[in-house]
Amino acid sequence: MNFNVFFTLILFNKRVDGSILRYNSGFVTVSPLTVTVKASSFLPDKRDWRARRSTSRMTARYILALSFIALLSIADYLLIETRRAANEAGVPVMLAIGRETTLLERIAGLTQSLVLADDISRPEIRERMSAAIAEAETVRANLVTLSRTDDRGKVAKVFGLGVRIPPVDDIRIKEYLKATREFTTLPRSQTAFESNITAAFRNAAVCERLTNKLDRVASDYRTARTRDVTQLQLLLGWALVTMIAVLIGTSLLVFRPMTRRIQQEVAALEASEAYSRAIIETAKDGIIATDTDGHIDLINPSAARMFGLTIERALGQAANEMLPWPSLAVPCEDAAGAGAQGRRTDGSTFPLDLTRAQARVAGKLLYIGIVRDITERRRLEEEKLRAERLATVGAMSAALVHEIRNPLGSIKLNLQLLSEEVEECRTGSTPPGEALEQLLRPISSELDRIRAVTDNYLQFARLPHAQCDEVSLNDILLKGLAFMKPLLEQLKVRLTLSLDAALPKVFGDVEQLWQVFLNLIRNAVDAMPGGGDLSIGTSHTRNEVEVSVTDSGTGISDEKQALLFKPFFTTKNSGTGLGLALVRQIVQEHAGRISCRSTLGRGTSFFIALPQAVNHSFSHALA
Amino acid sequence: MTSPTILLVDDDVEFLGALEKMLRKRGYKVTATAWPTDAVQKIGEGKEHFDIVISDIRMPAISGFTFIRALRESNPDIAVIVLSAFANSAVRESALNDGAIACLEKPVDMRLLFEAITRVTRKVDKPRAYGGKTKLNLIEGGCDRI
Repeated sequence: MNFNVFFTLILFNKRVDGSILRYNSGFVTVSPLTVTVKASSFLPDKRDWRARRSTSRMTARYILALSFIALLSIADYLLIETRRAANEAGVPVMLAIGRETTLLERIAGLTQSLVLADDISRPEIRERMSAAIAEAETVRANLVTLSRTDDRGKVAKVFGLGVRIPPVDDIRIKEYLKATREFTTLPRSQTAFESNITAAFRNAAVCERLTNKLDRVASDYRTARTRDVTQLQLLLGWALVTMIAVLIGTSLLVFRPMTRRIQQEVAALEASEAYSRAIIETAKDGIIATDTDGHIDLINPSAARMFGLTIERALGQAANEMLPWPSLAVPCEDAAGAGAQGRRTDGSTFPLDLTRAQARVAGKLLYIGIVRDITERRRLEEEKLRAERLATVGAMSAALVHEIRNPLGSIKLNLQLLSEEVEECRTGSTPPGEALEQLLRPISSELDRIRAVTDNYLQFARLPHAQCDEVSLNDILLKGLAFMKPLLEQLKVRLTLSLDAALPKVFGDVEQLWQVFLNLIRNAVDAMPGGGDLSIGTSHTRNEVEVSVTDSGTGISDEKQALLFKPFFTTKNSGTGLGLALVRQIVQEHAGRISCRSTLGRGTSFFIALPQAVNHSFSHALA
Repeated sequence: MTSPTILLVDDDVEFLGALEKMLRKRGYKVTATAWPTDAVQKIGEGKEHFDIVISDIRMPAISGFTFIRALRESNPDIAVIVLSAFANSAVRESALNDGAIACLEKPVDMRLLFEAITRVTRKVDKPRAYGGKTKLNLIEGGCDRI
């Protein structure tokens, strides 16, 4: 951009008299035409179109070119305005008519112009003007128009100066008046007329002198005026420079960064939109958005595929034709549950998982559903469950086989020994007696052991259906412990009971719950072979009832604690490894929790938490 | 060597008692213990000499495998026979890898046990007699190795 162009615009100045004033103080001067041509060069050209410049850049070019033309117009207008103002001030009027009219008309016009220019504010000009006006007025007042048709029929018109005579009554003045009358009336003779003409021209000579004087006054005025106007134009010019500078500055400092920011924001917005769209379109989950009437507003390819639709067909369709409940706006109890089914266009259904959300976009309420076809997941879950069940059965059978084969081993050995003894008895003289009995006893006890293992296993595997009722754990403990006290005393176990008097009831099976406590107490006693302290306590929280069984026994190491509830895991020599597994099974079937805390050498605590029997729906959960 | 000395280790006391009685009747010198730690101590003391150790796998305090490994390292001349209530192929392979010469399942077929003991006896007499057998064959052919 060439700044010189702007400077030239305003420094290119026209004087009031039409001459061109040039300022050559270091600025380049060009004609308005050049400037116009220059302005057109700001318009976007072919290269811009070909380069597909951004719209905002093109617009900026148009604006720049238009601004140029506007600036030219302003400059032109200022020049015209200046001339008009000068005309109104009178000077140019005088100049315009001064060349062609007769002297007298010139005077008359001058007077008029000067009167018009009376508002000139400079005091000295004004003074001189007033004097000139007064003088001219006097001339004008005495102007007399003479006209006469000559011999050839042409009308001659002559201006002359008359003398105004004040009203007097002396003779001399009356004579003068007579002469005046003669002057104002047509002369009777050619001679008289000519003499009158001569007299008139004499007067006109006076007039001319006066006119010259007025001319000088006017010239002075004009010079002063021109200077004023030039100064005014300069001032206007500088104002314009400032204005343009401000404009350019503003556009550079504000408009361009703003444009760039807007461009960046638009680009970012477009990128963000493309980004979101890409995510929605590639999402494996189905995404559906409906308006408040339940018509589909947006559907992604996954969802369309899921329901056997094309996106075009799906848009505008009612979502409840596909989804199993009235609208995405209505929360559906089944939506996340097992029963939710989606309906394809061919009428077939599939299990689905739905997450609902709602959002307000540009003042419009949208209901959004994220749908997932869970056919495959269901199948995998079922397979996993089956595999787990098989694994458990396998693990349990292996352990069970181990537990049974051990006693079977000794039974077999004893039977073999027995048959040898019997043979000896038959062949020899040894009487059957103590030796045989000694061999039979272990067989019997080993058979009992096998039976205990199988009983426990069956108890664990086929836990009878709980006969639930509202029961007090305190009652169960007190009743059960009453039978155990003699045994505990015999084993030197000191029992401490701290029961919560305000213990809420729980909903459970008395037999099974006592089985839980009995197993825990047995374990506690087994952990204290030489006797010790056993404390049993009950307490309650807002929703739960808690029971703790603590012994001062040997304690359980951390690794063993992790295996504690696993079937067939035991730390005892004669344990079946099913006691705590059974305890946990019962507690879990009562919707409770069991935990263990133990320190080696100090003892072990078991904590059981069961829900209070206040919530009636719990009974349904167990049913 | 006709009558080897045998150390029995099994936490199942009933089984231990019956087996001890049975082996004694066959004329073997038998020492029985329910604790592997006790067995380790007995061997370590060196008061008695044992030709064969017959051990269970699942025992308190020390696993049978650990016991066998330790024993094979300290006393490679003592042959080990493993008895287990649940001897699947994994258990067998593991036991044989750890250096046991046979792995038998409970309830024990006494014929196989005596056969194993006899083989040990023979091996002690003629060390090279069974050197050619591969491990795989041994496992498939009656889960013993000499």
